[in-house]
This record gives sequence, C-alpha cells and structure tokens, in this order.
Amino acid sequence: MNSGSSSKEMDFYNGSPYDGLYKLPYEVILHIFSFMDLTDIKNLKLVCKTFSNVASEYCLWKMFMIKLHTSGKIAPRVCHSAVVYKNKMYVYGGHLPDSHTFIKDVKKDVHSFDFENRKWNKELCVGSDMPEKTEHSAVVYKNGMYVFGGYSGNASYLDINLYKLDLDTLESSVLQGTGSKPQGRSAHSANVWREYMYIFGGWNGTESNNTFYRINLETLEWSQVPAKGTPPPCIRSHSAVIYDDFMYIIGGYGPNGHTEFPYSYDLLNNEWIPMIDNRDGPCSRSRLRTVVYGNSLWCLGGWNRSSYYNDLWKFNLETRRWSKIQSSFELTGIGQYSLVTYKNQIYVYGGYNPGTSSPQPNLYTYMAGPPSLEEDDIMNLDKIYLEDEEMSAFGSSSGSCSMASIASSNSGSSISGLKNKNNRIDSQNELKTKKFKTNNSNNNNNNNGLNSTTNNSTIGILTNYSHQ
Amino acid sequence: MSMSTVKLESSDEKIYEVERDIACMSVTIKNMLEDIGDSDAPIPLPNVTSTILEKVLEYCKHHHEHPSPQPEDKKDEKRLDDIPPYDRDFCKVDQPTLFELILAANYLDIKALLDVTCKTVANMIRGKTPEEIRKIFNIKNDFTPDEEEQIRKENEWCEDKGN
Repeated sequence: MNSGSSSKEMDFYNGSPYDGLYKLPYEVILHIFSFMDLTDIKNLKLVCKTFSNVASEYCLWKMFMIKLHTSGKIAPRVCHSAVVYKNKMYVYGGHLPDSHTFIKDVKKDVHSFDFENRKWNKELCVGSDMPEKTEHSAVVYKNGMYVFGGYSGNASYLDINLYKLDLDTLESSVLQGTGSKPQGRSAHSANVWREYMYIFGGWNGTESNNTFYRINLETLEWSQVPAKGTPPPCIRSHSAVIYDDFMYIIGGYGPNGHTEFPYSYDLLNNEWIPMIDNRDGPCSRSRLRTVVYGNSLWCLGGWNRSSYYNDLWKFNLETRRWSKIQSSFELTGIGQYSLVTYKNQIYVYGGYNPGTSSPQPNLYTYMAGPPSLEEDDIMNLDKIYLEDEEMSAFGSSSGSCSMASIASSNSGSSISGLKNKNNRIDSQNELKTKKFKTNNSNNNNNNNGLNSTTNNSTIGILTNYSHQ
Repeated sequence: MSMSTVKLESSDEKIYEVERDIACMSVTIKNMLEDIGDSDAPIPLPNVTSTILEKVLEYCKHHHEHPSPQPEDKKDEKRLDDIPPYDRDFCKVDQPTLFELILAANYLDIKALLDVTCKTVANMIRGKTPEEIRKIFNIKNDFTPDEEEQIRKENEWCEDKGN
C-alpha cells in the first residue's frame, strides 16, 4: 500500500521515537558497529552522515590490523631493516627465504614508503653502493641511516664496517670506526641513545653471543659497554628498544633456549636488570620486533621454533604490565618483519608468513593511539591518564569503548582527529565509571540522543599518544 | 531486612512485582535499590513502556533460571554466530521493538540483553552494501554525490580482506 509506506516513512523522519536505527544513541550505534568487520565498517561510512561519524571512531579501527592500500609494491622479503625519517619509511636489504630458515637472494636495494601518500619508491643511492645485507641492523641518527652487521655470505660475518646512508642526499658511505670494535654479527640489535649506537648479541656464523658494544656516532669510536648486573644470555633474533634512558630486550634465542623474560638496561647507571616478573608477555620467542609508542612497548608475533605467532602485545612502562591487544589480523603468524611507528600508527612490513611459507608482501598498520591530535591536545594528554589497560584492550564490547571522535578526514587517511577536545577532557572522569547511558540523571532518551550523547562521549585513549 | 520482591513501574504506569534477583540483573535498578534502601514504593522506569518491560522481564527471568555456563569475559567479542537459541528467538521481533529493546537494555544496563540485541542488528548489517543497509533500516542517503565520492576515496586507504 502506497499510503502506508509513505506514512511510515513520515513517522520515521518526523520522529516517532525509536523506530530508526540511526536515532539510537551514539554509543549504542557504536556498540552495534563494534561487532562488524572492517569491510562492513567501510560500508557503514557510506550509508549516511551519522553512520559515517560513528564508523570513523578510533575504537572501531583499533580492532584491526589493517592492510594498507599502497601505490606500488616492492619485492617481498624478510629480515630487512626499516627506519623512519621525516615522513618516510626506508626499507633496506633483507632476503627471500627458501624456507623459513635458509637464506637466498640477499638484497641491497633501498626503498622508501611515503606515509602521507602511501607510495613506495625505489631510491637510488649516490656514492658507493650499499652492500647486500640481511639480518643486519639499521638506526637513524640525525639525518643518517646507520647500518651494521648482517649476512650477505659467510665472509660477511667479518664485516664490521658501519654504512651510512644520508637520508637527505641518499649519499652512502663506509665508515671504518676506531677503538675496541665488536665481532661481526647478524641478528643482533642496534639502538640509538644520545650520540651512541648500542649493539647487543647476535650470531657470528657459528654461535650466539651476549657482547655489548657502542659506537659514538660523532667520533666513530667503538667501545665495549661497561655493563654491570646480570646480562641476558647469549642470544640472537631478539628485539630491543630504548625508552627513557632504558634499553629493553624482548625475546631472543641461544644455546640455553629462549629468554624467558625481558631484560632492561639502565643506560645512565650502566646496569642490566632482568625483568623476571614480566615473563607473562611475548617472551620465549624470537624473530619478533618491538617499537615504542606512547608509554608502551609494542611487539608482534615471532617464532617459538615450532610455530609463528600473530599476536600483538604491549608492555606499559608505567604500570610495568603486559597486555595482549585483541586485534584481528588476517595472517596466522609472522616473524622477521619490520616494525616502525609513524604518528599514531604502527607499521608492519614484510616478514615470513607461515601460511604461505613465503614472505608476505603487504604493509599492515595498527592504530596504536587516536589519530591527529593537535599540539594543545598533546599538552593535555599528560593530565589525562586513564586506566588504559582496561580501556584500550578491545574495549568496545565490554562497554568501555573509548570514543575518540574521528569525524572529518585529513590527508590520506579517513581517520582524523578528535572533534571535540573540550568535552573530551571534561568527560574523562565520567567515562571511568559510566558505560553507555546508565545513570538516572542522564536518562532522557529523546530524539536528540545522538547529539547530546556525542558530546558526552568524545574521549579517546589518551595515554598512548607519543610525544614525538 | 531485604525484601525478596520489588515493584517496577513502566512509563504507562503499569506495576510489576518482580523477584529482587531478577530485577537486579539491571544494574540501573540495582543501583536505584541501593540508593533508596528498603521501600514499598514502586520504582519508576519512565523510559520503558509496559510492552517492552514485559519483554525485558521475560528475558531476565529466563536467564535467571538458565544461567549461562560461559563466563562473560571468555566470549569472543566479535562473534555474531554465538547467540544462544533462546536469545535468537527472543530477538525475532519487528525493528521498532528491537530498537526499543536496545534502548531499554541500554537504559537499564543489562549487558547480556544489550549485546544480544545489538548483535542481532549487526547480523542484519554484516556483508551488506551501503544501499542495502539503507533499505533495511529505511535510512535516507544524506550525502551529496561529491561527499559520497570523497568517502569512497578515503576508504581506499585500507584494503578489504582477501585483496
């Protein structure tokens, strides 16, 4: 009946109270959307403006390890290095594995990935060629990428040169270094602290080690680190990061098996501190990577010598607790990839995919924090400290969905900043105790529920934001 | 001395006497009872009609008598096919009723009911195109063609599964 359907439509738009999905309170629509997968969320963005706003919420997008659509692809690889400089990630070297253990086709190419336009580009270096390298390390200091160690044939374990690639001019150079030089190695870790690059552990072709060296990148003088305390055992294929004058070593494998817990190294007092109370994370594995984002270490996957993991973890350095992030990831496992952060996102490139027994060719990203905060937001973050373990771990369905409103768009990505910072800050205390609309004072379920509740709920996972 | 039943009053002023334990499956009611202490006065629920309140009480009664063996936090949050048969049948109602149930579950803070009703809606959305979603829920496309194109472009930054 024509008249019937048109009157129904009229009721709907003119406000018979609850017969329209899009008239449900904002948080409730968000709760419904929290059960959807990424394809549905993208489709929901196209339905109407209201849905578009809700479907842009950060708390929905952080449920996924998202495969990026990139312009161009580069040859798949594992054990390459990746560093971030300005708005680009530089990927260098790596190899194509025969199986997950045998090395062939070691690469020497350098590619950049522009985070803003999502474009891969092969970089042509000026000066001496960069050597073929895999399982090497690369760090950024000032405008240079510094490459150390790695494998390109058995003889290469003797290579203790430092290779510098100027990331502004793409000029490469070989730096000999002076002083007490380390033994050549691959599958070690390298990190920059102040003007030093620290290298730890690795494999020299026959055995793993736990030697610890540093080079002053200004003077190019090597020295052994005068470390006290109990160092990690001889290991390789571990991961290491530096945060706040401490180095952290996660994972690793050696003659005594896997490390069972992380180690930290106090760079100011030169002392190793085994973190024996933190074995309940992604320990007892190797071939994983770790990055710092916000006040946490984040690591992904890795290998326990029989299978690969696909789990994402974070270690909160304030609470000193591990939590597992329940993000949906299409790969069943991953190792020997690269892991970097840019803005609020973690990027995973390449690595071994046990599902296909080959390197996975894609770039994945995970939103480790809310997008596009402006300067004054960042200033405010220090004041807003939520119990992020509870809040962030896939909180939507448990009712504690965080509501960083991500309405309008910025360049390149459809996820953008908090649209209502004042309300976000005002309402943070409410959010701790209140899930959805449950208390009496807030029970007017009127037609405008959408607008009013949006204002109450615009809040983000704020603690993870990096100050970089 | 705690009374074993409580009285609830719907928006259309019908009064229901309910076992206290069942009423307290609503966190909102539980908090109200704690606030007011023992009282004979019915608890007003101005946002819930008698039709919906009856449905909600039916749901609570069933789950009170048949407690779920699965601990809440063990459930896979994203799964949409884990709705128990009773709940699935319970949610087989017309859309306005379903939305009223969602609002009541939200207002009364009954997480299990909120989840199952929201999952039912999510199931109606899953795998559908934007146009199909609009049709199912009678939603008007309020985008201009340009805005729609803009969102399509934005959506390109990530790939769908299987690409």
